[in-house]
Amino acid sequence: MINEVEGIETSVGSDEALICLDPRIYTREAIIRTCYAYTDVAYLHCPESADGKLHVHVALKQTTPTLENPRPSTLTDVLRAFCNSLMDFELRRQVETETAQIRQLILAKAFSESGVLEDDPPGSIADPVESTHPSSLVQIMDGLPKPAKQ
Amino acid sequence: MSRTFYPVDAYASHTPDYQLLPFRFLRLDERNELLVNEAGEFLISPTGTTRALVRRQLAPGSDLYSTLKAKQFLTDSNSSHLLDILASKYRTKHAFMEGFTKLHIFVVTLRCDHSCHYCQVSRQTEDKENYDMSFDTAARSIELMMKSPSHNVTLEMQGGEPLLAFDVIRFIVPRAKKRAMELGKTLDLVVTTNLANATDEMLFYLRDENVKISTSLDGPAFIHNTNRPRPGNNSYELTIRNIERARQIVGWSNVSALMTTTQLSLQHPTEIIDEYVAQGFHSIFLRPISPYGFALKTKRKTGYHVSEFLEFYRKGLEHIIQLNRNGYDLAEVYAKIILTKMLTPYGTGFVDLQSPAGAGVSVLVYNYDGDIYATDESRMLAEMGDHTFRLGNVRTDTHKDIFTGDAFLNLAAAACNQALPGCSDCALQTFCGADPVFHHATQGNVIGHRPTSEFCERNTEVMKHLLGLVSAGDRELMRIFMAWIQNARVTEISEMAPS
Repeated sequence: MINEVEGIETSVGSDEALICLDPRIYTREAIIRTCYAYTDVAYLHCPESADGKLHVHVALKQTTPTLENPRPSTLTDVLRAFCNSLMDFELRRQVETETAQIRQLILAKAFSESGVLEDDPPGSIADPVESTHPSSLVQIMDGLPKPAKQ
Repeated sequence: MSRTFYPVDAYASHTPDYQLLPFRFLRLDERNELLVNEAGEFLISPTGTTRALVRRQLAPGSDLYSTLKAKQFLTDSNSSHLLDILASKYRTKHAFMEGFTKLHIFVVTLRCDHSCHYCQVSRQTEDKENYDMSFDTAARSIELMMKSPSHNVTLEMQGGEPLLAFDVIRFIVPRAKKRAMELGKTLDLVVTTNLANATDEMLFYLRDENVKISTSLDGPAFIHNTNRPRPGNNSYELTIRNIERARQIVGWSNVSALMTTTQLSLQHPTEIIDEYVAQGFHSIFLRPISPYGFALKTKRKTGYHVSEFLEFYRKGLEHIIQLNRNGYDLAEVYAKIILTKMLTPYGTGFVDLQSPAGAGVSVLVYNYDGDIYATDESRMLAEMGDHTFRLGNVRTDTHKDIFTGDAFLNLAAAACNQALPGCSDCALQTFCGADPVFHHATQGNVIGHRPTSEFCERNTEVMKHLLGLVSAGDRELMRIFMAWIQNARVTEISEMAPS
């Protein structure tokens, strides 16, 4: 059984558990992605909750050893790994959100020579550091979301 | 009286203000994590680096900060955005898409003298009428192939055993050359043959027409002859004898060989590799079996779990590296493909590890009966009764029909790993690919389920293994890897600094 930590509460049975997550810390998107990553070893779903928390119900797919898998994962192992993965997916989501616009800009510039874009992306291929348009950097930066304060 | 100054750090900003650039990360083990940016630049760093980076906890003067800045994981007020450089790197990585379909595989016959357990389609028959590509089908296939926008195209003739339909080859080669010349395209020609039926006349023809030979060699006789039965049980002896003849006539560098890993092979990586060395080859592709066609039917005989392949692969790679250290140049092609993606700005033309997936985009298969498939594996599925990836027929469909039809659009919907569940935020995405045909065959849909995907498990583990080797600081090993990437001898690669 895992210890309760800030933002995570668990209610553990013999082969299933309910994880209750604080939505101020974890986003639904990160939770869903984490759930997907564990669909090989567990059945997971995210039921609605009345307490304002984000719930994840986890039930192991295999609890007894078989010839094909003589050492199935225990519930404790899965929950511990799930919580670690959740941190990673939350971090990935933060990076993705913070860099989404700049990524789109890079891809737009990358394929701008292919002729599929309706409008040219900002900047010039002949001026990679945009020295002749110092304001363009400001325009790009202004459009980006501010990093979350930690 | 002397004056003392505070250290430089005292004047640096303690609240670093930098902008993240797009990247993904992955925990490699308890101690290290992998960070890869949009253009494939990567860094293996202690666990916690990503968290510190996102939380703005990195000291601006630190080596880690400088490295992340140099590799374009972040940008600050002292650095230019250099977005065009990142965009240029991204475009270079995806240059394989330029020109669209380059590889065109013609199945000139289904007939074969072998009955390999893992083969999908061959027929032991004398029925040329029903199983050879007709001249009309061949002519139409060439016309369709030449509709490809690519200026450089490769025509690969395979089977069955294509040398059993040598009249079809003799029809295709001059016609394809003529059309390529008229359209200003460069044309490479390859025949994929077991060589058992190769006569001197055939080999001289292939030499004169500049047709390269790709043959099969699964290892020493006890493996090769078990994997590739034929009347007389002498496939190995014929292959070895004819490789030698082909080299003498067509030229040493124009004859290459491929192996397929069966259950029998798993216990013998060293013997298989040593066989390639004994035959004078300087590359070997430790290739897993394709889960298609008869390989699916005979899975108990030929198939295995991906973990067994990975053990075989690691042992084999270790042996190959040791051979290189001992002075024999031998490249492992699977590693070479991945290392090229990791250590150079370039992608590769390897259709099984591309995003967008190679199916249709990079390769088309023209079957003996005129049907067109997205990949050779799609054709194997069709032989098992699954026609999901039949894109059209040379008699009834145009180039536009093929690429706007439902079959291709179904493939295209799952062709980009950037948009696949489980792949979209994977740090290995840039080095990996999408394989909708594989996932359809093994998991029942083109998108697939990444947590149980053998494709994902195999490529993830091989890439992690290679990253571990690359980051070990072994200069001699890096020289070996660079020699593989550059198609050079290890002695031609200068001393390298550790990465």
